[in-house]
Amino acid sequence: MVRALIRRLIREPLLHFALLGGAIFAAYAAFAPVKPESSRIVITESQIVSIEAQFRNTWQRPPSREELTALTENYVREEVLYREGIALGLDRDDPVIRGRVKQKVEVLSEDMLNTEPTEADLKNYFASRRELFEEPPAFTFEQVYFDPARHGSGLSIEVSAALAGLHAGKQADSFGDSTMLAPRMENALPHDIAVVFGDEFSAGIRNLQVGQWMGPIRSSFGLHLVRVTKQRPARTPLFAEVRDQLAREWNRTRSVEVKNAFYRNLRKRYSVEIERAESPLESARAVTK
Amino acid sequence: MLAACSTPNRESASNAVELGPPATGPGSPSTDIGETVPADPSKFHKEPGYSPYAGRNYPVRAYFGDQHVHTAWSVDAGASGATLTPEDAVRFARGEQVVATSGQPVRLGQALDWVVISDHSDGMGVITELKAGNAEMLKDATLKRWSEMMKAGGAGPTKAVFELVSAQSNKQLPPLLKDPRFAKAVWEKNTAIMEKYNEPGRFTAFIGYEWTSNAGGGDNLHRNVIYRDGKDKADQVLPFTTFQSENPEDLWKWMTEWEKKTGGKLLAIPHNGNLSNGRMFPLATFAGDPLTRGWAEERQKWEPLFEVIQMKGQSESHPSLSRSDEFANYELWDRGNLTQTPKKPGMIQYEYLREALKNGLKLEQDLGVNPFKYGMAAGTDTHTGLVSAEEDNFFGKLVAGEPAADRWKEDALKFGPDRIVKGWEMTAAGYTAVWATGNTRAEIWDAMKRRETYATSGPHMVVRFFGGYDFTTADISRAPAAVGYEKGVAMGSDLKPAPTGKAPTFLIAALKDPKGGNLDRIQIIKGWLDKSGKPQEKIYDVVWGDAERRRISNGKLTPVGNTVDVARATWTNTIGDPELITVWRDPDFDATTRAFYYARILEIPTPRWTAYDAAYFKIKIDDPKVPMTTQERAWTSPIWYVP
Repeated sequence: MVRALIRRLIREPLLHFALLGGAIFAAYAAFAPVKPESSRIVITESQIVSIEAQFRNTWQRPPSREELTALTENYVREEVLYREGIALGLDRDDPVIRGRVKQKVEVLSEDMLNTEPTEADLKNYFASRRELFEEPPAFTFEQVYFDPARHGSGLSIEVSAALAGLHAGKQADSFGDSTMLAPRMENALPHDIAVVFGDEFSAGIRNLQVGQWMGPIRSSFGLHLVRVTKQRPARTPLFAEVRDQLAREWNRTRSVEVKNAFYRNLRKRYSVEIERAESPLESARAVTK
Repeated sequence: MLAACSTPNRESASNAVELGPPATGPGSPSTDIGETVPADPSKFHKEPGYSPYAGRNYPVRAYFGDQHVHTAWSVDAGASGATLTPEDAVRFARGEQVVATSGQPVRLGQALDWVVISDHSDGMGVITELKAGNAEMLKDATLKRWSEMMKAGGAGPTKAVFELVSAQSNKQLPPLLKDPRFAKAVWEKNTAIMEKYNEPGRFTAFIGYEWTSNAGGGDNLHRNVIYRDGKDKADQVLPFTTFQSENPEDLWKWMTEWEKKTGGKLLAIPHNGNLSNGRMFPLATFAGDPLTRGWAEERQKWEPLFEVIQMKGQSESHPSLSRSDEFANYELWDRGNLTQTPKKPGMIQYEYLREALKNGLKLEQDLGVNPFKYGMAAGTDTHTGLVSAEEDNFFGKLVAGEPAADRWKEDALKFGPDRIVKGWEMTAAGYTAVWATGNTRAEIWDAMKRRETYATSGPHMVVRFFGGYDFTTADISRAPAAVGYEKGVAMGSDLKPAPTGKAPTFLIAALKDPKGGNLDRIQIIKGWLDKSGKPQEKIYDVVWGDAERRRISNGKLTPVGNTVDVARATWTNTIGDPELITVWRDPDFDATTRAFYYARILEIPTPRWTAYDAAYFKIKIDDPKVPMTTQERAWTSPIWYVP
C-alpha cells in the first residue's frame, strides 16, 4: 500500500513531493551510501494471484502471459526502488506518509470497532435528539408578483388595487406581472420556498393567515400578494418514519466516539515531554476527549 | 437525436410518461442513447385542457449539484492535509454544518440537491473481508489470528488494528492484504456511504469516482465516472485506474465491459481541457492516429457532458480563440498543463469547449458522427471535501487555501520557480443544474445523458432554453416550459429538420438566483460551418436588463454598469433585471450547413471572493492583476442543427 502511495505520488502532479523526493534521494545517495534490507526479492504464489486479481478486477479477464510478465517485472521494479528508498530513510519525517498512515489507522479502527445499533439504541437516540428530527411547517400557497421596476411610483396603488380585486373573488392570473416564479407551491417546506423566492419571503409567509389573500410580502424579486391555502403545522415524526435517518446519525455519532476512544487507549501508552516552559498541551487536551 | 434512457420510476411512472420501445442493444445505430427504455422528452408537453398543470410531466425544476468532489480519501487531498471524509462531504453538500480541516465551521448558503463524490479509489482496505472470515485469508496464520482477535471483542480488536498497522509500517503484511481487495473494501465503504445518504425525492448521492489520467506528465485528461445504479452493481467491479491505462479510449472500453457485466449504466464527464496542453479535444487518437467513426461514436456515447468551469478555471472559451467575445477573458488558467509545464503555440485551440463544438461540426461532416457533442456541466473539484462555489463562502481548492488573510498571495500550486499558480487565481465555481423530472439517481442521470443541463459559475439561476421553428413573442409567458416542450426541443437536443423557408427560433428565459445579483443579459452563441467548411462563431445579445436605457451600437451592447463597493464587498440590485425572457430568431440561418446554439447568461458585476477576503481580513490586495469583481454566469447545453 505504501508502494501504491509512492506510485501515486509519482503520478500525481498536484504534489510536488515526488520531485522533492527525487532531489533528496540524489543528495542521500551521493553522501550517505546505504544498503537496502536485503537484495533478495521473492515473488510468492499469492503475490502473483494478487497481481492477476487486480488485472481481472479491471479488465474482466485474466492477463495474457506477456501482460503477466510485464506486470510482474513492474512489481519487481517498484520493489527495488521502494527498498532503496526505505534504506535511505525517505519515509521518515515525510508529512505525506505520516498523514497517510494516520488516516489508515483511523479508517481501519473504525472498520473493526464499528457495530450496528440495536432497536433500543435507536429509541434512546431518538429520545435524546428529538429536535433534530422535527419537521418544519409546510405551506400550500398561491402568489401574484409585482416587479417594482415596471411600476415605479405607482407600485403601491397597483398592489392595493390587486388585493382588493382578489378579495372580491377575481382570478389571480388577472393581476400582477408575468414571471417564471412558481404561481403556486404545494406542501413546501420553508427551505424549499427560500430556494425559489429567497429567505425574506420564506420568513414572511409564516406570518400570514390561512385562507385569504394577504401581503404584500417582499422577496428578492419584488412584491407578492400571497394566499396560503393550507398550512401543515410543524410536527415530530414517528420513530418508524425516521428509523433509517436515526441509524445513520447513530452510526455517525458512534464512529466519532469509537475513533476517539481508540485514540485515548493508544495515547495512554505514551509519555510526552514538552521542551517549552509553557506547555501547549493543556488546552489541546479537550480535543482528545 | 438524443433521447434519455430511463426505466419508469416513482415520479414519472405516476405521470404516465410514455415509454418507447426497448432499444436493440450494443452496436445498433441508436446506441448513443444506451439500451434501456427512454423517457422521451418529446412526450414532456402537456395534455390539452383547461388546467395548465394537469398532465404536466416535463421537468419543472432544475436540480443543482456538484459532480466533482475530493475528500481525504483521495490520496492527493489526504496528503495535502484534508481530513474530511466522503460522509462529511455529502453532509456538507446537503446543507449541514461541518468543521473544515482548518478548524473553521462552514455551511453552504444554498444546499445542493445532489452530489457525486469523485474520489480516487486507489490504495485501501481488506478488513471487511477479513472480518467476514474470508476462507482464503484464514489459511494465513497471522490473518487467522487477527480475525479471531477482532471477533473476540474487548481489547482484541484494538490490538488487532495495532498489530496490523505495525505490520504495514514494517512491510510485513501478509500479501493477501495488498492492493486490489484493500481497494475493494474502501470502494465498498464509499458506495455504502452514498447508499446511506441517497434519499430519492430529497437528495441524490451518486456513486462515482475520478479517473485521473495525466498523460505525458500532467496533460489533464481527467474524467469523472458517474453511476446511474446503486451499490449492488457498483461493487461488482473495481473502478478503472490509471495504473491500467492513461488512454481515455481504454476507459470507454472499461465502461463497455462494465455495462455488459452488470447491466448498469455509466457516463463520464471530462474536465480541465485548459490544463491538457492541447490534448482534451484532439483531432487524432491518443496514439496519434487519424480519428475514425468508431472513435467518434465511443466518445459521444460515453461522454455526454463536459465540465466548463471549476476551481482551476474555465474551459469554455478563450479570448485568443474568440476574439470578438468581450466576456471570454474570464477565470483563465492558460499558462500550462496541470503541472504548469508551459503551453506551446497551437495547443489552446484543442482545449476549450466552444472550439471543440465547432470542430465537432466539421468532424461530423467528415466522419458521420460528432465526437464532441457535449452538453454543459460544472463542478468544484474541491480537495477539501467542501463544495464551496459561493464567492462569500469560498473554502479554496486545497486545505492550504481555506480562508486565511494571506491565501490570495500564497502559491496555490508550485512546480518550479516559474511554474506557479497563485492563490487568487483559484475560482469559486461551479455547479451543474439538471432539468430532471424528479430528484432521483435515475432521473438526474437520464437528464445528464440527454444533456438537459446547464453549468453555472456558482449561482442557482433558473435557465430555460428551447429551440424550434415556430416560437413567437406570444410564447413569452409565465410558464415558458409548457410551450417550450410543446413547440420545440430542450437544451442538449437536435432541432428537427427545418421546414422550407423557416429559420430556427429560440425561447430563452432566466431567473436570477434569489441570493444573487440581477441579470445583465442573455446571449446566444452560435457556431456553424461556412461555405468552405470552416467553423465560425458569432455572439448575439438577445435580451438584457434595464432595456429602456441600453442599446446595441457598433455591435456592442451598452455595459450594464457596476454597483460593487469593493472595500465593503457589497453591491445593490439597482441595475439589471431579476428575470429575462425573449424569443429570438436566427437572422443568419443557412439551412444547408451544420450549426449549434447555446445561451450564456451574465449577472451584473458582484464582489469576487478576493473582495470578500479583503473585507473580512481587513487586508489590502494591492496587486492590480487580482480581479476584485466578477460577472457570474451560466452556459446552457447547445441545441444542434443538422441539415
